[in-house]
Amino acid sequence: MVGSRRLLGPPDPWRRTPLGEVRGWVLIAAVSLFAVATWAAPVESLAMPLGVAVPEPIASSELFDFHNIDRVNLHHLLYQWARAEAASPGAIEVPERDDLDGLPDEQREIWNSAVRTYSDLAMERDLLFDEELVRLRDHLAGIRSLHEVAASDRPLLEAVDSALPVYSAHWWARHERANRSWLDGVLPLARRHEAAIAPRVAAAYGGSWPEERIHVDITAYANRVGAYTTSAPHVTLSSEADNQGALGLELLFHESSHGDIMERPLLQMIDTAFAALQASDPGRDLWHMVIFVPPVRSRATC
Amino acid sequence: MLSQAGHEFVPYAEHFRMYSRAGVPRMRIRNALTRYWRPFLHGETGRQEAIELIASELAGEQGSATRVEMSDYFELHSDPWINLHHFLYQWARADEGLGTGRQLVTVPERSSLNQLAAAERAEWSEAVAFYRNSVAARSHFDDDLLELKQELLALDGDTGVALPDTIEGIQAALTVAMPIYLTHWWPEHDGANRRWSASVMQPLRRHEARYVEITTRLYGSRWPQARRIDVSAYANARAGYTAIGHTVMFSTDPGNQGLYAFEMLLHEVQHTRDVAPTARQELAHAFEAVAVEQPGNLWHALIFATAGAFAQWVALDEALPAHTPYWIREGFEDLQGWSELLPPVLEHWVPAVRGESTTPEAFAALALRFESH
Repeated sequence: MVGSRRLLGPPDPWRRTPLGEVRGWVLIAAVSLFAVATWAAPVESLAMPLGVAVPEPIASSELFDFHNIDRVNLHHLLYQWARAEAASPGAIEVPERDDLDGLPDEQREIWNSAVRTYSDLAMERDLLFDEELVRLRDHLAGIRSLHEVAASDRPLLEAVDSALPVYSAHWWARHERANRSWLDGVLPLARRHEAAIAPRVAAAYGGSWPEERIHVDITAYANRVGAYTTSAPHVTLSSEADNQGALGLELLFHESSHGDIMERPLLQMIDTAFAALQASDPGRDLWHMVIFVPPVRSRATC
Repeated sequence: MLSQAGHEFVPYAEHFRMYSRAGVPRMRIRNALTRYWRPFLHGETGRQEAIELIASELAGEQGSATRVEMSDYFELHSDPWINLHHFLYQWARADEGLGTGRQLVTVPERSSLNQLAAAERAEWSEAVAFYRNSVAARSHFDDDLLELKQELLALDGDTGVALPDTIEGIQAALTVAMPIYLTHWWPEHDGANRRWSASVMQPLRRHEARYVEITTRLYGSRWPQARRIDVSAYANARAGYTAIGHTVMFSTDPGNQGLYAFEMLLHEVQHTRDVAPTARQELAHAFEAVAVEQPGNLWHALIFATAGAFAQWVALDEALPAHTPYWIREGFEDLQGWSELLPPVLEHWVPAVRGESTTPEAFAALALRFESH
């Protein structure tokens, strides 16, 4: 998980999660029932239940499937819009809000209604740690069936569906272009370097690279810090200006590192090392800072 | 090369200044990762060993985040705040053409400014401009700068905490400069500091006890345990300086390397009240007793001679090439205000350092010698 998008108001303190407790950025606790199965079984057993048709990626490399899905984008936009409107702690700027007055009344009403639903049901929940919100996102991404979405979250789905025409009419084209532009900058780098980088990433943390391609949702908005990863790994990465090109590639691998099968051995090793010293990690995010050190030399020939 | 717009690729954590975020001692983490995790990534150590070393370092006592070497009497520190402050100070002075001849400090990093991305270059230039306008003309002994240094020391190398604004605007200048410094120059400066410290620590561990004995005999020293010394890529014009009991050593000074680094460290600590609590007054009394004006640089000359004689003895003891004391190598005998000091100091003070006479005897002999001038 990373951070760069401009915040509204004071940012939250850098999130810290105690070692041995719920670990930030991955959904260890949230998917505890699924996690064991995830480590032991192919990703499809969790990610692609029967009856779900995974959308075709807009592009793939050997290791990643890149998706540019309007409903996933809209879900994150509504979430961030609601937070910005409420000036929630750590809310980020949503400049699309300035366009609202220019919408026809009927569209504006539909849109405001959808935002209200997100305000009521979603905006105070965490995109990463809230298991049910992750399931909703997964459904929008086409990797979970409708019956896996909590009944209490169905209004959010209805809000997405009702707002989709408005979104399509006003913002989706711009967001889609930005997402494709991000991909244009990152995909050639990924194709050129992934075979060299992936084994080093996995080896650095003592884990193993997933056998299946990693699902990457490219979105105009993600979470507060611009990217997050749930445990498959399933990466959601914002195409914002700060994440372009080589930095985008670094983030892609950074986020992928948050998959359980990659970073879990590292987490355990850090826990063990501090336990042996009868001490604790003073910053409580050493594991994350470790993952922020690129395991390849930045001067690697491109 | 992974590059952006022709610039070397700067990893995300550095690019977005994650080590500067408030709330946790990120500098300690960054230092530990640089020291132990990167060697693992480069195949030089094992993962478990690296993690254990990092954990050990981070679990260690607070207040030692910047310490790089330690002996019974000395702690050598490489502190990013102390280094950045002196770096900006000397950069600004070089911009202003302050300091000439023997006092000129060149700052070769200035030529690398154009290699920074435009935004970083602008921010760095802004910080340097502040130093040019508000700091460069001051001495390191300026009250505000001394206060600033004390406050920077109290940060214990944590680049994520609130800074003092001792001189209005310096908080902003240092805050904006630190992430850029960490990315572009600190690794090299820290490396130079560590090499210098490791080099000094070898003879120090073997011989410091004897030096403590000698200074205690000469001056009645009250040596504290583990005196903090800051090692900095830039400091003053030469070798280092000491103020309010705190010493900054100039690690990249070409004249301050090898046994000279050892000698000048032992020179500097004599400027503290711990090591020489009353010797200056006793020297003054000796001159007053014979109604002779004490030469202005005499006390400083005694300090040079003491450390120089000790370094000569160490060179002999360790079978090193003969050592010429720093002040003689630097040609002080030809400098106005110093040339007349060398012969009497060598004749009357160095025997006291060797234990062949006492301090009062040496002071009295010096006073009489200058009476005859």
